[in-house]
Amino acid sequence: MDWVNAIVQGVLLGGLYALFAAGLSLIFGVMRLVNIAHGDLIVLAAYIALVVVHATGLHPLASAIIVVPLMAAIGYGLQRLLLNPTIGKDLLSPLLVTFGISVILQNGLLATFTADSRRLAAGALETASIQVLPGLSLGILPLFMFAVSVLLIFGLEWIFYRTSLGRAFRATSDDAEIAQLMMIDRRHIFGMAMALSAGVVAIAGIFLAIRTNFDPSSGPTRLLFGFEAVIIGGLGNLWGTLAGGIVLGVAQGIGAQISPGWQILAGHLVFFLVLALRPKGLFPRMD
Amino acid sequence: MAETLLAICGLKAFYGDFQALFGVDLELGAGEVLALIGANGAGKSTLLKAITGLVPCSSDMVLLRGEPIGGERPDRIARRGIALVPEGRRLFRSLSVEENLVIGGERAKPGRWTLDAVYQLFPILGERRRRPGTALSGGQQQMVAIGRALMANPDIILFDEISLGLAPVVIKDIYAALRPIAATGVSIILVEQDVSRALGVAKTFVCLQEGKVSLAGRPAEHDRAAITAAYFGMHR
Ligand SMILES: Nc1ncnc2c1ncn2[C@@H]1O[C@H](COP(=O)(O)OP(=O)(O)OP(=O)(O)O)[C@@H](O)[C@H]1O
Ligand SMILES: [Mg+2]
Repeated sequence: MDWVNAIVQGVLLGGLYALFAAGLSLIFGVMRLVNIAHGDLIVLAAYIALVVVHATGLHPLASAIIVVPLMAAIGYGLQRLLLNPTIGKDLLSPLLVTFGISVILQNGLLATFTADSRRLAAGALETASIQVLPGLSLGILPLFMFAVSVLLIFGLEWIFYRTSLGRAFRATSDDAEIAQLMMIDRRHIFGMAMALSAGVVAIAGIFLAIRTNFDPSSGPTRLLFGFEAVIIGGLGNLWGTLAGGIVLGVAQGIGAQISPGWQILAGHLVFFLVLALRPKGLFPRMD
Repeated sequence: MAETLLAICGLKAFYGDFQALFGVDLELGAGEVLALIGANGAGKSTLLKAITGLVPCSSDMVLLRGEPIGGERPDRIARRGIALVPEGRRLFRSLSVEENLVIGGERAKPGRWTLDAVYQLFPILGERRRRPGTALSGGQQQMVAIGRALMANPDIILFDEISLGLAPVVIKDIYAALRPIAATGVSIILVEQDVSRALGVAKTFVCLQEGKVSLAGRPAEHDRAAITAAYFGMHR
């Protein structure tokens, strides 16, 4: 039963990784940009949630009603002010700008909040669990987070394939030049993609803050997990990203079961294995 | 003479240091069809790109109803009622046929061209509406590209190489569709390799040669030899 438990916990953790990855995948899909600051934005969202919870007394999960729109606005602003001016010229400049944003965020958070690690307390929810089988009980909170992650990815997928905004995303990704002739203002569309990504990041940040300790330098690891989930699942495919997150989570769960030191390593090994055997990921987008 | 809708005045256009257009002038009247002809590399596509904002130029080089619009952002110019059917069709490959049409019109002012109207003009597109746009034959893709431009209900449509690479019978279909389109009163600039076909439907023409206007006027005013000379260059 220990093994079943390890796998189930891995699946649930994988939902969170998929959430880390979804925003990354979205940005890559729309503007072919790898956002190095993605993990630091997750941590920024966690700190904003911390401040909101302290200031308002809201439950951490409820703080989303403030953190999500705030992060979306920050994402839109970053895109319009810093990233758009560099996009389209070459691949390296926007990448370097996101690297710069990452460094500034880490140092800004360090200066404001010190290097102490923090956590958001979710109260009684943290220990609540249900028994699904004898010897296998699941935490309500991880289950809830997993369900929200799946719903969010479903929602993103719906926006991408069923709405006018999603059509504009796909058209811009297919042929940015001709998309402009469809009266699409590319700067705004890119801004909206980053806003959407940052909105998802906000949820990921809140979940992260409840689940684990975080500090200003936690971002790069989240970026790495998100990145691995995206690559395992296949670039530009959101359902693949969910699967990638789950594969990564399960690998880590099994690794931890073998020995605590193996948790992270097992995840990286699976990542390298997929990269070596299926460089386009397990579920490459049909082209 | 119809009221001038679009005027190009001394248009110069560059790709980096390379100059592609050297002071081109032309006038397009409301409801007119203008054929833009010229050999490969003469600058026809560049002219259409400058009009649509895809290639930079200064503002007074393109006048729409007398208003300078040169160098505006492409999405702004599209909003002003200028649509392009680009060379090579350039359909969005992750969009279905229907989505390719819808995206052409969903930000535009409503008008006579709707999905139904486009499907009436090109019934085959209605049958294939769910297919990916790029899974159709070349001719059908050209129909989607034309429909996508129509969906914007533009005042001016620019067609770049409308028949390039298509079978003769398909070309006939496409030109047959051009007639009802022109009859709606939209102004058209038609870039075409097949000179006699283009001159057959156009009221006026402009011939470019190495980035300059080598001949312009009404097709009937010039004999074939003069047009051929303007097309290939006087030294031929
Ligand atoms: N993106 C570009 N960068 C640099 N030069 C270009 C570019 N596009 C076109 N040119 C050059 O500009 C000139 C005009 O090209 P343009 O495409 O406008 O010609 P065209 O009349 O449309 O030719 P065709 O009949 O082959 O389509 C050519 O010399 C071409 O090589
Ligand atoms: Mg051309």
